Amino acid sequence: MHMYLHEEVLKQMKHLKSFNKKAKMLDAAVSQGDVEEVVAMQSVVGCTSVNDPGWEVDPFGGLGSLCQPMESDLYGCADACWWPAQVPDTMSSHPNWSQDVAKADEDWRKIDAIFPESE
Amino acid sequence: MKLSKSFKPARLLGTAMTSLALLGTGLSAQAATDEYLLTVTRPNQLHVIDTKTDKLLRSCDVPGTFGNGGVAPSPDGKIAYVMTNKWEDVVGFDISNCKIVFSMSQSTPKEQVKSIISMAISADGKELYTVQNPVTLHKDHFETQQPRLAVYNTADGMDAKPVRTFPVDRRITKLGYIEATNEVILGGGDVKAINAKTGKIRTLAKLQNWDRSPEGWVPPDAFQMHTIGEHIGEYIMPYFTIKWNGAPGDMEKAEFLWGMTRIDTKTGELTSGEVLPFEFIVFNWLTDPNDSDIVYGAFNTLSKHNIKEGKTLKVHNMPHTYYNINMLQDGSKIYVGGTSSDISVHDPETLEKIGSIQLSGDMSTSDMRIAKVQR
Repeated sequence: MHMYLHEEVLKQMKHLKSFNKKAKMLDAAVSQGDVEEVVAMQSVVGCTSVNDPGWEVDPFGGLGSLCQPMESDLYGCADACWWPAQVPDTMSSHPNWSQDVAKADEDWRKIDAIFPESE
Repeated sequence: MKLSKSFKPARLLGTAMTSLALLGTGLSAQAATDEYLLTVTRPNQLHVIDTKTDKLLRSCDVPGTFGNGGVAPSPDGKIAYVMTNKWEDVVGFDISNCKIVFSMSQSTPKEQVKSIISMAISADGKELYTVQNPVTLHKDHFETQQPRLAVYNTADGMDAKPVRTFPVDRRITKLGYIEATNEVILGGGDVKAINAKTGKIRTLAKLQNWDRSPEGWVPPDAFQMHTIGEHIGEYIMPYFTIKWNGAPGDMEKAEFLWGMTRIDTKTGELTSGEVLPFEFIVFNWLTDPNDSDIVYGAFNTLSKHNIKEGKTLKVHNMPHTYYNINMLQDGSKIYVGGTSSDISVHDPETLEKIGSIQLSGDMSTSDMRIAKVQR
């Protein structure tokens, strides 16, 4: 699944014009073939580097091999920055998130969501 | 996908150490050793548990924000080194009284340094190793730098600084130490070892870069969290692969397989290969001290397997997910922990639950290590 997404992104990039310096560098890297291939879950490496399907489906296409219940897995995902899009990342961006909630399965009602600071 | 019950391991593990040898060395050491279970919970406490009674002896407050809960006991079992403060700092505790005897901070105002799981202690207890992943914090952007092995003298005490650093690969997580060669094991895309005096690196086992044809195999996906195997002096790391018995991508003929890389941390002897059909997820394997052909795994189940025969012997359903597993050196009890706030105690023979240890907070990704203290 990860390779499919990667190729789709590259395809879409052909129709986009680079706007800033970083985008131009990325564009140049893509055209030169310098962008590294995405490697799925080869090892745990912190924020945004793990390309894992998430909580939606397990390797067998079912639900039985997902972490259960999700409260048991919540801090394991936040502290390791495993799915920073789904769970606040306590490794870098939100270190104080839910520090007052020691047990997620008992006190899940006290766990807050994260909102952009500007809103 | 074919989940064959009659799977025959292609490359068997466990021939290096006989069961008899394990049993013999274990018995003499056990008589004079007290074993303590060490783990860390949120908000940030190190817990010391007496494995004779499975009671909590003491809880030590760890400075800083919770990190990954990494714990590395000193070889004499008296000091527990804990990774804390967002995966950046290490603090050493005397586990008999919670006194802090060692500390180091890796980040500076201009450079953020995280260690992803990676922490180990030398066999003589004199050196502590981390793999540092530095990022220079410029005013308008971050710049990733070369990862490095950092060597600390444990005798330097508080606010210790690295005495040596050496460049290493990216994506290194789980570390170990080989006593015979004085090398640090680097668990990453491949398994390598580095001489911590000279920085010389050698490859122990290829995983990401293995030599097998992509027409026949999918490159292994290794999971490298939690240090496992110290109860018998092992570094053990599972991996997952797919064997294409037909065309690549033909799931009807494919075999999903568990493999493992297992290193004797005393001699450095290594075995690596497929051992079991992939029937369900485990986060780690753990070797039975009395029979190296028997391994246990934990996740949503606690399971027992014979890797010589490639068979699953028993499966016990767990009430919730656990990341971590460990056991006593005489093989009398299995501890299953991580994720939530309870450690589940099990009989290795039947896998039935025989006890529970309740903690004050969630273990999250924490290690669950055994400290062996000579009487």
